[in-house]
Amino acid sequence: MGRSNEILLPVKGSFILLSILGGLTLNLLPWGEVGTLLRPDFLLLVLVYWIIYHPMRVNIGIAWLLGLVVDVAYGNLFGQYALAYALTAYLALVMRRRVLMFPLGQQALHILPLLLLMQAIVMLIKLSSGTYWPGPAYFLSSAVGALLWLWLPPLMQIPQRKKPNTDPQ
Amino acid sequence: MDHTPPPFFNRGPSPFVRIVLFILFSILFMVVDARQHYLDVIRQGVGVALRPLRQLADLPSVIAEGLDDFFTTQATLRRENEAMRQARLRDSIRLQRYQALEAENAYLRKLADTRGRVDPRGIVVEILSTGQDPFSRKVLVDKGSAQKITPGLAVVDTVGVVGQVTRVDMLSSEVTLITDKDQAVPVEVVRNGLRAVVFGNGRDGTLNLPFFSTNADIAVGDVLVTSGIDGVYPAGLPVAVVATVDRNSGTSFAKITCKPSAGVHHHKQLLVLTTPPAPPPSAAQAASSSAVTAAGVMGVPPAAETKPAGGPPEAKVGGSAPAAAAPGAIPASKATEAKTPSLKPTPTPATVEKGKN
Repeated sequence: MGRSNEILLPVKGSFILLSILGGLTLNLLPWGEVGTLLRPDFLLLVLVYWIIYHPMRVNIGIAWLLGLVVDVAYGNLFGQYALAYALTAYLALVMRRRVLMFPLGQQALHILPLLLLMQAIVMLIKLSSGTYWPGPAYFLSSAVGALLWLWLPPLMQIPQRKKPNTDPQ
Repeated sequence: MDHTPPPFFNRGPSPFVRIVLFILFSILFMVVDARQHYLDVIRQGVGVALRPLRQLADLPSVIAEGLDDFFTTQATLRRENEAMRQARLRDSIRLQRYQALEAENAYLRKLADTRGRVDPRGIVVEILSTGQDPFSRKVLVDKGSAQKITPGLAVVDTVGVVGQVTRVDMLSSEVTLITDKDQAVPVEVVRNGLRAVVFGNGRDGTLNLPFFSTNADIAVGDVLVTSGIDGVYPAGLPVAVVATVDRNSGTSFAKITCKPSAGVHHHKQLLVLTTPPAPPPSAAQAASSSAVTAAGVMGVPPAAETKPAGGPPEAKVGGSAPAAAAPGAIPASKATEAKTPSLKPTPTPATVEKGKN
């Protein structure tokens, strides 16, 4: 992974916004019965990416606000996903320096507990308001999310790559 | 120490302070949202803002459906057309009989001095998306408060009860399915008129019928219809069919699971019933209302297997069915005959209805 010896362009605010909207749209996709269990939380993945790689641009407050939006989108009580997203964002912020030292595969292993924690928080809040135990398959979505991490950072850095120098000197 | 960092190093409160703050905010929001309705404005606003994203997210399935429609073969269309024509014929026959029954029923009701039933009207809605949340069974439909949909209305499809409108935005509303955890529907067993409340199981799309003693008269295959006593669902709509009955003598209640009759998996269109059903019948009217339930409101097939041998008074009422279009033609003597059975206990009016079929 030659990330360290590659100089990236500064990230554009419009691209951050676009990626967040993209993540939200993917979350809203209808997936059917089995798909809902396997579907990773795309929005959370995008958020965690921005917090780990660009903590000055996306912070806990934005994660919390997006959590509120997800609450509306899913028709939940306000604040469930907001709480879960904010906590995940905080933990990502705390461990970002360590995560950045590792190659992508090992980064994914750091991301997995973060995603699991987020799901656990949502589940605990739901269970306290009287939902059923969804079964262990519920946590599969975190595993899929962690797998996706292997491709996420390279994908998100595409707009930051320098264009090949075509300047005819 | 009066040292402060220069402004360009200022990063605001530390992450820990922020997260504590946001956790407190979240808890506050949850409590306020659960108890009060102050936050509904935010919900409406965000809901409207999310609409374009939702439409974008639905685009793949819309395109797939369009392609599917486009490549439907002619044979399929012909077959479907044929089936529909037959169904229409069957329905029209049933409808003709239903009209006659309805007119007669209205007349009998007037005689029995009970309140006439309101004809339920509906708004056709289309499902926008089925749930993204693995915990709940809700669907989003494409009409909202702009089309006069209000929370609490019943939602049905061609087969039976689907659920209830639970939240309304301006242009969309959320329907909680009867299979959602702890969603309750008051029902009645068609075969013997037993009343109960059926609850959603949440996880596997089944319903359960709690608090029936192990020796209760209920069997696999029994049809459950709405009883109408809750004032939400009009009486007589099919809800579910009993799938398993587990009579374990170790427990005092039988474990009964039911399969819902309707399903959002089959259709994209649903009907929101806008007319609130008649208020729950009082004790004196209960007998006659159960007769109506047996006949069914929205084309529910009556339980024909329990057809009794029509006694003399029932036969007379049955004979008047063709003339029921002009109810005034029935002489007063028959009217008193018709009135008496409705004051007797439940089984008799049921036979009145059956006698006419």
